Amino acid sequence: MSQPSQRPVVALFADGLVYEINGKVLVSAFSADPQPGAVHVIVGPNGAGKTTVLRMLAGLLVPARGSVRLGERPITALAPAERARALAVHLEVPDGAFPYGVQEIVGMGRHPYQNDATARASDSTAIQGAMVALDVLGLCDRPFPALSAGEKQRVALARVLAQDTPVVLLDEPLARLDPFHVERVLAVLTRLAAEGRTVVVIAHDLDVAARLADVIYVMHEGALRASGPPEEVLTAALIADVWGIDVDFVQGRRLDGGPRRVIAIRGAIVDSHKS
Amino acid sequence: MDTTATRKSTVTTILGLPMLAACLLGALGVIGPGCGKTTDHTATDGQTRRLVSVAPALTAIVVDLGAADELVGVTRHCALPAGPKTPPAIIGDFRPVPERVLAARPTHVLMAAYATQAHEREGLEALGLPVKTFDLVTLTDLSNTVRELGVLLGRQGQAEALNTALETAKTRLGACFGPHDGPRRPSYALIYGTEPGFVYTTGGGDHISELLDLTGATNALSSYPRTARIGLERVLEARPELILYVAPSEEIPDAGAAVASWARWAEVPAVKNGAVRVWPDDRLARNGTHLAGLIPDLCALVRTAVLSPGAEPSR
Amino acid sequence: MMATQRRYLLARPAALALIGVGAVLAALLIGMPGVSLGDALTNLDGLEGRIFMQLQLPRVALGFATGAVLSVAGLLMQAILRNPLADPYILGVSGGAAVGSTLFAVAGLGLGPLFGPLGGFVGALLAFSLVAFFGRGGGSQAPLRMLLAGVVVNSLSGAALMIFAALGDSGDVQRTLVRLMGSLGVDPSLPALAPTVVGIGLAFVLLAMPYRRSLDLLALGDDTATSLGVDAASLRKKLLMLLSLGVGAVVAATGLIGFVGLVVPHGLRLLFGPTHARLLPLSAVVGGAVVVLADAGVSRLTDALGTELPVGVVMAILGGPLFLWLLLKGFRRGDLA
Repeated sequence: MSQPSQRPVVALFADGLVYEINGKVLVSAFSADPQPGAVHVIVGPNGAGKTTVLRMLAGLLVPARGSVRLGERPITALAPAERARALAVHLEVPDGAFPYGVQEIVGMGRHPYQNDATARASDSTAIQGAMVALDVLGLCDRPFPALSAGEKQRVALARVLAQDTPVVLLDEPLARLDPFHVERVLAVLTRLAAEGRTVVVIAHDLDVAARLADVIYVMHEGALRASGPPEEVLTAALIADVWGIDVDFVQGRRLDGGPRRVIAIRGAIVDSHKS
Repeated sequence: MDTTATRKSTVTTILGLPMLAACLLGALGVIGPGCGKTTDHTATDGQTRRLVSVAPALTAIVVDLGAADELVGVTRHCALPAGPKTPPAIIGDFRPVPERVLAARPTHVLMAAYATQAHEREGLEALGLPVKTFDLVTLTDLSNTVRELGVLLGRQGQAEALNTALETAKTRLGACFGPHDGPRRPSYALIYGTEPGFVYTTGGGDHISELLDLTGATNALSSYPRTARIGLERVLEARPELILYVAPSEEIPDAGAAVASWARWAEVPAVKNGAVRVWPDDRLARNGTHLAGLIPDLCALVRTAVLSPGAEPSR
Repeated sequence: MMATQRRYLLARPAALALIGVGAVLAALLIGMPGVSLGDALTNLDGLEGRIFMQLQLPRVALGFATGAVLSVAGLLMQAILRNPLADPYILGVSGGAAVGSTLFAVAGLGLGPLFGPLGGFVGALLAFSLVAFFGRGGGSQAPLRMLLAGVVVNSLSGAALMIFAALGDSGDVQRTLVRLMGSLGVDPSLPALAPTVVGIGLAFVLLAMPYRRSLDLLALGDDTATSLGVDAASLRKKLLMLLSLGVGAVVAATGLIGFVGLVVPHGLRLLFGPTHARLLPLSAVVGGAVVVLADAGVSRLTDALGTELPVGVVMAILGGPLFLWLLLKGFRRGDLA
């Protein structure tokens, strides 16, 4: 794993991203400049366009309008290998058609460095470190298809970690994980940000998102409704409007004993405009 | 036109009105006999027969026995003598079409025991048609078939005559080589077809190899079964003294092509002595009473191939 | 861990060369039993020598190239479709080749014996192009779209062949269908055929080699592979084009030899793991070895059976139970879901 001092600081900029398909606008005018060194969480109901935004940020989808920049350069101007060293993305869990070992899957995250001898020297440390962080070291020699859904998810995340990039984009990294491992992954994400990386995450659970995020982005029906620190952005009124649920804010505690605001869901608002 | 008639005949047969069907079809002019104008011919034994022949070889024997008039259904490939009578219906190409066979109202359906037609045979038998099957692989089969057909058609006399002619021909084969030709007899390899690197041949037991064996020649590939697909190298190793293509094919249409394709294997006696031949038509390949007429040419071929290197057969 | 590492030694170049050369030598010794190898080699100008040079050696060379190409093609196809049960013919090649060679053989009477195989080559390429067209644009559904297109091509081709059989002169059709059963026979009047196929086969395998690591990434999914620097959609297109050239040439020359393209890569994957860096060269060599040994065995069996079975038939007879066994083994180990 490269040292924080050696790692280039790469900032991600999204300017007025628009995505449409068959005339239907999925994302309208999404702009953000997520700062390195912080965890940015995108939340929103199903179909709000979160994954589409993430794929545009990753350079996998070309926006109809607007642009994504990595540092000074548009993301489309980067060669695939260059981009792969700058940005890692988790969008899917491999379908396990072939019996690769867990270590082999995680090792694939080092593919962008195959022509760089210096980087390759740290391959095994990167892979080892990633597997320890995601608690999959014990699965080391198991074939990937034989794992449970949660284990597969963690292996996929370990691959992203092993890629060791300044920018990390994750679509629902907490899905399918049991509570213990949710906490583990949250700790990993926080550490990644502390190392100076730009971490952008999509999450569904409001309370977890609020806990994790330094900056939260609320998307609704393709548009960015609000962004900022979670305590300021996530008001009961906004939550009711966007998600159609009624919430309480309750005083809870962090692991270190300090206070934290817990978002406790009371229930769905019956006469909400959402169907 | 045929398809309409076929469909119609199937429907009416199912409805159990075969006679009406035949009448209708006759009225449409599709098949020869019309209503009330039966053209069944009686034979010397006074019986009325309607024959459908599914094999050209059997048609030929029926014609040779003088019973061509009794044929009401033949294949597209059957050869018939020209005559003032209404020609029999075509009941199929290589395979008999059941509806047409039914429409001809046969008293006998004559089939050869070809393995490729086993399915059709079962089908026709299942329809309740009177099928008679004949073996036609060997020369003995031929004689037996002629005899059985003679009995069936009340023409035993003609059958006996045909068989006698056949026997005479076989004896003449044995006399191919004269007293001055020496005791040596050639070894031969028959070619039925080729593939790159492979040859379709016989190790003996069919009518062509029997004919050659009667001249005193031996089959160089006798260790193989009656139908064999073997690598070209096995033919070369057997070093035959005569290579005979039983009929022309697209790849090898004549002797010139055959010689050219074997030219590189000069150590093979047949090639060295110019004894690579192609039978000019498909009459040798077909088993039938016409074989008697081919004997002189066959004799000439075997003799010149062995005794005079490079000489062309007198055909 | 140690046992697997020892097994991986088999994938080293020296071991592969040994397997390849050994198989070829064994095939030369076993096959064509009537030809004495010793006699042939001491007198290359004699009959035995020329049988060896013009019939046996080209046949073994053709067989090795065919096995290598089909196995590697099967491996690539399995990676492209993310399906360990794919074979090189699945995307319409068999149908395209069948129709192409029949059409050309019927239409090209008198244009020489190469016309039919050329048609097979063209047909295979057309079928591939059609299927690749459906796979354009990538996405997780691309393999499925191509698979469906391939199924359609194969079944339309089957229908076309039946029409040919019904309407055509039976001699032509018969010949074509027999050729399609798969045969490594060599026509000595076309001495350039075997070396050409060997050359194409070698080029095919060598051109596929640089993509070994990228092939592993395809298993992660299109988006993930692309994010790691491997454009999945364009890789698929490139590989399909390569595949169509290699498989098209082989099918044109030797017909449809089945099971090699499926059983060899699949079996090797179960034994050596799915990493393509090892699997690709292994598949090439083992595939070639399997075909030449099967062909030699078929040649020797002629003494017992009286007739020489087409090698495609034998591959099916051997490949079927072997494949079943591999499947069961995979299920038990939990490799297949």
